[in-house]
Amino acid sequence: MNRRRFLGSAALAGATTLAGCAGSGGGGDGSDGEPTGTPIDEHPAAADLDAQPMLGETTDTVIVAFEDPSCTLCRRFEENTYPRIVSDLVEPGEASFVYRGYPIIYPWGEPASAILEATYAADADAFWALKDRYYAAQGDFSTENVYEASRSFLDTETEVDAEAVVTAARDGEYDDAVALDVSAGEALNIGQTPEFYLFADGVYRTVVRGAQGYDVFATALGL
Amino acid sequence: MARTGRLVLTVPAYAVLAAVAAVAALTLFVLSLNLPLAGFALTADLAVGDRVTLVLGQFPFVGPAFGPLQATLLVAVAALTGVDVAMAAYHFREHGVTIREGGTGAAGVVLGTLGAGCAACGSAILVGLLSLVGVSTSLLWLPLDGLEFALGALVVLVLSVFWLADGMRGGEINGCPVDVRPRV
Repeated sequence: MNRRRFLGSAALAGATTLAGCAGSGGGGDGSDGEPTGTPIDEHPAAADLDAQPMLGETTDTVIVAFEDPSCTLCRRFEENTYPRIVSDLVEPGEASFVYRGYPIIYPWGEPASAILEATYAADADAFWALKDRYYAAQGDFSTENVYEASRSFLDTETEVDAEAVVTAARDGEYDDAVALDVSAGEALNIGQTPEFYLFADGVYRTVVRGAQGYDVFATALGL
Repeated sequence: MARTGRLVLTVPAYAVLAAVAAVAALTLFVLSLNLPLAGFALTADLAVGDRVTLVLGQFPFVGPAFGPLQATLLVAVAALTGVDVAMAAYHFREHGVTIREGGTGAAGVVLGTLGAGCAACGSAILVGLLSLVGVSTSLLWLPLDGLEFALGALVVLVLSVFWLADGMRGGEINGCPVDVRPRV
């Protein structure tokens, strides 16, 4: 194969790859999603917001996170940025943080999201603890052990009935709750995680993709 | 190849071009991953400092968006893109090569740009690619979580630089002869 033909073939592959990149982003900039200024209760990212796990009291300034427990970029966000969002924005009452499961990366993220939903239905504190556990020990989880490893954590570290929670998730009782988040993400054409929809003063401001730093969130929210 | 690149970069104008192209490539790579936020940073009613914070936060080693290996690869791809652009420009201008003759180098730059843009995405971005071709979104078969794209971009750029250097053999760069060893 001559080099021109090689580069032609490679360019085709590269273009396909770029198409993957271009097609994977969600909306939110006004070009392919909800425009800036959309009221939070009309924005797809905030659909069924009351049913979602939320840290914080305010419903005006909100970060809606679409995350996958198995996503390595989500883990980087959780390790580097999330703690400061909680301490500097959520705890002082400046903003609220909403978690929506969007399992699209590794297969174990799907059952993990269902377990998270089941856990949240049982106890909100246990939900946040389990969510933190998934990211802190991401490499320890797999499709084969996610139910047992989650049950073990919930049993030893939380007050919930771990067996009942995991059984409910395994039996598909919370698949609809996961599907609700997935539908919200699909309505926004989200193709990557993590992705964050930012609302300030009750209206949509912008979307932030990837494991961005605290300053990006605070600045974009005008805080 | 390395000597040819160094010779090109000893010409101040081409060194500046390489630097500008590298910075432009890196900017393109990182902002393309967060276009809505980039648009927000540029158009929203924000103070200049806030705009700078939002834009700079996207860059590797400034914000946490990229891990050390990913950031290093991304910077390497951008730097190599700069060298490639400078060498291609030198080849076109100083040696009178036409776009047609130098097409491989130009294609390499374009391909490197495409590949590097995706290299920044990590594993998550592959979901879009895989869904396009109807493949499961499982990424278990990619051991490097998407860094494969950055490595691929590096390979293509090195090939492009190599072929550019090969095309410049026998000429002079900044007054110095380019290696005239016979082709193998």
